[in-house]
Amino acid sequence: MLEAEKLVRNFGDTTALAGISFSLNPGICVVAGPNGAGKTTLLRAVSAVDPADSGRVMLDGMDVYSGNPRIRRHISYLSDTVPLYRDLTVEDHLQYRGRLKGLPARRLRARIRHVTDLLDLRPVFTRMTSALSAGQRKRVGIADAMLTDSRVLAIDEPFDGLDADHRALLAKALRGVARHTLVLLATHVFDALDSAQGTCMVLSHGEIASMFAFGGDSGDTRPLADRIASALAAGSPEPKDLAK
Amino acid sequence: MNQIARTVFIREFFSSLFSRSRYVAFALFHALSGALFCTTLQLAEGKFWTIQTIWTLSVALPLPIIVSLTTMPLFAGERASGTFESLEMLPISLGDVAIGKFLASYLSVILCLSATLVPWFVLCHVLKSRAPDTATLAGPCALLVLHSFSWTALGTFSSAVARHPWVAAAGTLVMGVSMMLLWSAVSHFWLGGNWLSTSFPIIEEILDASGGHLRLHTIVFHMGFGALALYAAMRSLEANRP
Repeated sequence: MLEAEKLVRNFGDTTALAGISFSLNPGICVVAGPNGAGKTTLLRAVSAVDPADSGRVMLDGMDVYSGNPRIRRHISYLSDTVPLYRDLTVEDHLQYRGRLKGLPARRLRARIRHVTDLLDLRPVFTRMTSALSAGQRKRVGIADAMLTDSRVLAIDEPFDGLDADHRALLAKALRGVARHTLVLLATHVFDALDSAQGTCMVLSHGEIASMFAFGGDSGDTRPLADRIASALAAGSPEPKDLAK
Repeated sequence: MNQIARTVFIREFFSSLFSRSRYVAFALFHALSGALFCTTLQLAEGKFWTIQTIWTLSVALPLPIIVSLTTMPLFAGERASGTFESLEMLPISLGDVAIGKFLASYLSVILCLSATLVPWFVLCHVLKSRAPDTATLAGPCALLVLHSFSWTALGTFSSAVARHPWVAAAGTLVMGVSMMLLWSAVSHFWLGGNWLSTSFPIIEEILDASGGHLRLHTIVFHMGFGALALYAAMRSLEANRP
């Protein structure tokens, strides 16, 4: 279980997270909201890439901000810029990252085969990462994040640059991962997630405007995008500057 | 060397073998070194410097340039391309990463330096019996290996703290030259040296080494300084980790 308690993050005079608290179990959690709502900041804060100014994040009882290297084994984060080693092929990139993550050679080969099949990366397997399209880069980055069985998989804009077929493919792959992992997705693209089920956290001005379950037995059959738009229209809090 | 350091070493070394910019840097170094060797040979050979001294000088003086160009992408390059953040997120020690990167750069620099022996052998072949014995290069070679060690460690540190590769390269040169000037000042004011060439430590080292002497304090200084710079790089990487 991931628990966040009163997370505050300021950038100068701008408050990106205004004391957010929540707890999430394994499954898909969509983090939605308009630009500047704090989606990326939230993902970076809970992944300890860019820790919050105050507040704390606990993962299965472990303090994520404790600096304990074991915590990093359980959290995977992929930024929207998808940093890849441009002088390596897709295969070499995944091999290198897998070795750094401490995967034994045989298991690494099996994992690479699994994630490349899952994300349709076979056709570009031997291509240099510098020669990939934006969508292919995104899928390689996600494959890298999925190499190990982490407890939290946080992906910023996972569907950016993907065509409809690959969006559906990725959504299916993420649904599979979400059986045992908390998959946090900060996104503006919701159509691929209509057939999924999970939790949606709608952010506005650094606060949680609404949090609801979607898909499955949630009872509301409206598309996810419509529910998010309604939540934003109904419960958008006024901008607050907690720094003051 | 543990598994992480070995993995990083292999990745960095082999990627340097296929890096076009690395070969441009090597070519620049050899052009500078060759020009310095030929010019100094014309001006000074047989007057006050031996041919070994001229060879050592012509390799040692441009050495900081090749080292700064080799080490600048180690961490600063990863920061600029965004891959450093994903490296920080891994459950590994960044100190191990620094050791792997340092050793790969050090090996690259040593390989580059070893190519400067080729003109020496050609010269010996052309001059036949008039050329000095190749064994006289043992001292200068050992000194250059030591210089490469301390410069590469300094370059690794500079790259570990810089945000942009070119800032790292400039930082390596500025810190290295400042250290040499400081060392000269200490030598002048406290150790009773003078401002003539032999009191300038790097020149003194080169003259000693080309005469076949490698002093203990030279070995201790370079090994100590290199180890200190590498330790500082490892500490700064871990200290700035989120």
